[in-house]
Amino acid sequence: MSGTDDLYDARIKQLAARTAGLGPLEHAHCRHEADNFLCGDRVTVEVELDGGAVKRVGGRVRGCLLVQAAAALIGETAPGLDRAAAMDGIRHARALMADGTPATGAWEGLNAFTPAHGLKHRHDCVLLPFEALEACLGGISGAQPR
Amino acid sequence: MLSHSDQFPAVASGLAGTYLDNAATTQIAASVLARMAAFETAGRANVKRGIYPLAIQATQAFEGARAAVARYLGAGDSNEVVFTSGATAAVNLVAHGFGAGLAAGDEIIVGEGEHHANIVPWQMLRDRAGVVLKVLPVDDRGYPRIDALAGLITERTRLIAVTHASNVTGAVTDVAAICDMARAKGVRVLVDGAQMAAHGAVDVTALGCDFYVVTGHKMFGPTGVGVLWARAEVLDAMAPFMGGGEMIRRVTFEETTYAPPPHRFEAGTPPVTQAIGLGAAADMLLATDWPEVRSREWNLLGGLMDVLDARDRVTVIGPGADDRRLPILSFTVAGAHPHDLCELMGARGVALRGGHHCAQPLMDRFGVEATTRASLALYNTPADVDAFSDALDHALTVLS
Ligand SMILES: Cc1ncc(COP(=O)(O)O)c(C=O)c1O
Repeated sequence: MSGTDDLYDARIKQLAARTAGLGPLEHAHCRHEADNFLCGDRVTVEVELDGGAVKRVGGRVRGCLLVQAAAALIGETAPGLDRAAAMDGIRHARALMADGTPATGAWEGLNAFTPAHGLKHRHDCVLLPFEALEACLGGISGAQPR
Repeated sequence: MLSHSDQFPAVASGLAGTYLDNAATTQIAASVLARMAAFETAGRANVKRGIYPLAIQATQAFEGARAAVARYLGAGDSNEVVFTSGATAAVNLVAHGFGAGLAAGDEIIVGEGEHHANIVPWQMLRDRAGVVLKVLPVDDRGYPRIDALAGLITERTRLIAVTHASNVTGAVTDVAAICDMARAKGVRVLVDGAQMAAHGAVDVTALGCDFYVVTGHKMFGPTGVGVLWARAEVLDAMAPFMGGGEMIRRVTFEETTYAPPPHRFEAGTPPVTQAIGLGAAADMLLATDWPEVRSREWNLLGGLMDVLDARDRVTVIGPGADDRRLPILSFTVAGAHPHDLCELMGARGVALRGGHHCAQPLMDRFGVEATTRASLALYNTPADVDAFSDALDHALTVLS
């Protein structure tokens, strides 16, 4: 199998298939739309908070399998994390893309994207939903500075 | 005689792989490279004003290229050919030069299927000058709805900007019909010929348009050069866009008078080498047996369509095989995003393009976010269709 075929392994495909679970939230505290101007992919992330913690993540994804899978991972990982830990997802994602550093702790699920590390032109696909999440939570007053 | 693929180094060497991204950029012809290399190694000098032999020769080579492009486009006079940096620059030149003569409330009609290069400059003009933009819709196959045009033209309409062929669907516009209607109402027509020019000589005179734009890298020439052709009287009346050297008649601090076209629109040192390359491309295209090429391209397009028809989940967007079209084919696959298809097929050596193709309004019209596009050129062969078929099956299996 080529590196490209590895990218589309079962874990990524299963994650992507769960994007449909995101959907719009009725009581979102924040909402952010991020797009990749080069390819036109677009992700909207919405977050509902419960005190200082993420309660639910919703949104809409218009993009490739990697964008879908990354958005689904956020939807499954962020609930229950406090804002800082949720916003930390992008740091793990960037480190994994930049030099293959495995993600740890709550964001361990990101390691499903390890094959994308070698495909620099796809890094932005994985990062796009994380950028939306960071901007969404960062836009709430009192949130951790980015 | 050389086969077509032998004339294109990256195709002959196999390095371009199964190259089906010709609507984005075609491969460069050996004759183009040779002429550019000859200029750079034995004929390089600045053009237009030098009066030593090398400069005179350089100017002759540059003007010879202008004449070759004029012949390929069917222009009456090579002074109607303005070198630009590409099709985008050519449309922007018109939006500024012709646009300078428009008043607030004047109207421009733009096709719904246009490349952003033929939309955004008009929006910028609207924002600068208060011009009103109207949209000429496309039908379900992607053709501009000429039946809707009469209802859009008013006393204030000044320009219709429409593509000759869609870079997404390959649909070829009935430009002559649009020009007939426009002329009767005193409306100018700008035609985006970026895609058309790689598929046979154009006849701007027969089309009856006022402006025609092409770009070098989509017609087997170099990047960094394109052309605006415009009818002499239209160019004469047009204000310059950029100011600088080589476009003036006389400069004082009080006043500057401008050179006649085409020089008025070629401020600064033009892309000389690239223009000479484009001239070589035009010569090659003029010597091409188009009926033979078209019938081959037609068969290959049919082959690609058969491959797509035989797969479930695939929807072709745009005209059918027998419609007036270019061999540019867009499709979607249920459950597979174009970028993923292109990634997987690209890894198998098949170069395709996935995305909005810089035509987002057309994507909206068809209710899709993006398409996958295969586009052919004169050097493609039946083996390319086979490779496409195999790579598609592989991608569909991986993405199932
Ligand atoms: C129909 C059409 N018009 C205009 C352009 C712009 O050409 P360029 O980028 O060379 O200026 C393109 C390029 O994709 C095109 O396909």
